[in-house]
Amino acid sequence: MNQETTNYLRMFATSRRQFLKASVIASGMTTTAAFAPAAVAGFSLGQAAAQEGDLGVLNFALTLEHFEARLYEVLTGEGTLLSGQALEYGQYYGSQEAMHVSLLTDAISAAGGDPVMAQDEYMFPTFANQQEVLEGVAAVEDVGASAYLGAAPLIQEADYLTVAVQIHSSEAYHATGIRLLAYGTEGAFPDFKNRAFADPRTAEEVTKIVAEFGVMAGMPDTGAGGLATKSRGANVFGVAGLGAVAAAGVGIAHSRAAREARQR
Amino acid sequence: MTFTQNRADTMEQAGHSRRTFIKGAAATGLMAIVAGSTSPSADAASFAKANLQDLTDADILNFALLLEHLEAEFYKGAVDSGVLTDYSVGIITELRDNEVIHVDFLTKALMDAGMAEEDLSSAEDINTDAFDYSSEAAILEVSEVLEETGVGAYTGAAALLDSKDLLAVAGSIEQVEARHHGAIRWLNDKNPSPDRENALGIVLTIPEVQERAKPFLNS
Repeated sequence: MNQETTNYLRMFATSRRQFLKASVIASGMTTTAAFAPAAVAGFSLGQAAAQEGDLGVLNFALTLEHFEARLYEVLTGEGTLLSGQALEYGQYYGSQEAMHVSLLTDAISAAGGDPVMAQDEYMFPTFANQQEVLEGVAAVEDVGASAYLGAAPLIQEADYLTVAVQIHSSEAYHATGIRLLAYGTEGAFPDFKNRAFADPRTAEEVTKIVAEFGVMAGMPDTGAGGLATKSRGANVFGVAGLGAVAAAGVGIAHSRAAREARQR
Repeated sequence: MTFTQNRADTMEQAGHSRRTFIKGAAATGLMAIVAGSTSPSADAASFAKANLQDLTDADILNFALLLEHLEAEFYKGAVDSGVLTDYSVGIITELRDNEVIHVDFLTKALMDAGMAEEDLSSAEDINTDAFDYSSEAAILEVSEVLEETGVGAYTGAAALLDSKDLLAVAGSIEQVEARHHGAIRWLNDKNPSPDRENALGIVLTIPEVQERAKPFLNS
């Protein structure tokens, strides 16, 4: 496990003690995995050796999912400003975020980790009308999608990675639906730095954005300039970055020999 | 006969080359492997990995490039067809522009990585005669299939890529495909977010993608 993922877990495990507990269980599972239930919530534990760093990444994702699920619940609940299709979409997307919460909670528990809980309360912004709600939610969904995109390269276990990318799709669908309601077809897509490539965000960047909503309250300090949480994706984006990847052909193993050499 | 031997033999018989394999001309052998698999795991990623572990990152990206050519060619023709109304022409034009950028990006990346030009997926692999531009509805119907296939293909490919940098790139393109898919669903009077188990996006294996793309590829 590399330093990045270690730091990830340290950041998002709820305490040092639990971090240690999770790693012990995780290492134990490498040998006992064969006796674990074949599949829990779509994860096949037979192969998932519960990488410690992965649990940290999944817990970070779960932290955001709790917030999103609660946001939709509040915005579509008593005194809602939404009506018609906007209300329908809000309820539906809220139910899908709740599914993500359940899935991640079960997966983390099944791997011997300690799933984070929702905050007792969040500091939701005050909205005056439906349009403001839609614009706010669209921004949250865009951040959610960028968070999964930034986190994906940090995930070691293939099954977790695939599920994370699948949730990433779901967040992109939500963002698109809400953006269409808020801005119509002309604003269906965000203005990425390079229009055909979605921008990732590091955990640090995401944390800064959502902190004002109380999403990270009680979580370990993730203070700026602290732990190394930059995703590798961040380095290859931006117009210049993409060009550099293309120019250098970074990491493309063209021949099997090259691939084998790299794996040694 | 072991799995690996079986596959190697089949491919040798089929006169396997990178390009024909990617296009699915050698998919017969691949499908036989799929059909004969003793444990068709529900987990598509593990399944694909177990079956296709010899694919290099370049092979996988070249396959992605083929799909990008398919989308780009389809949308180019759609925009030029004169059939689209104000209802969809804005979205379809943006999709065309995005897919052309994906084509250019992947082509350059693969060429710089040393892939021979004759091995690269190209626009000539696409059977443009198979495209139905008879109506706006017909175009939107095909668009939805192509975008969903793109989402599933990139999602399935994520766990197959060795390079984490390339995974970041594939994920970035995948999100754009998902946004395209959502927008097309909206134009087809559907909720942009599909109603799927656990609210997870689609994931497809390479053989599944090949099956979907087959009608639009030259043999």
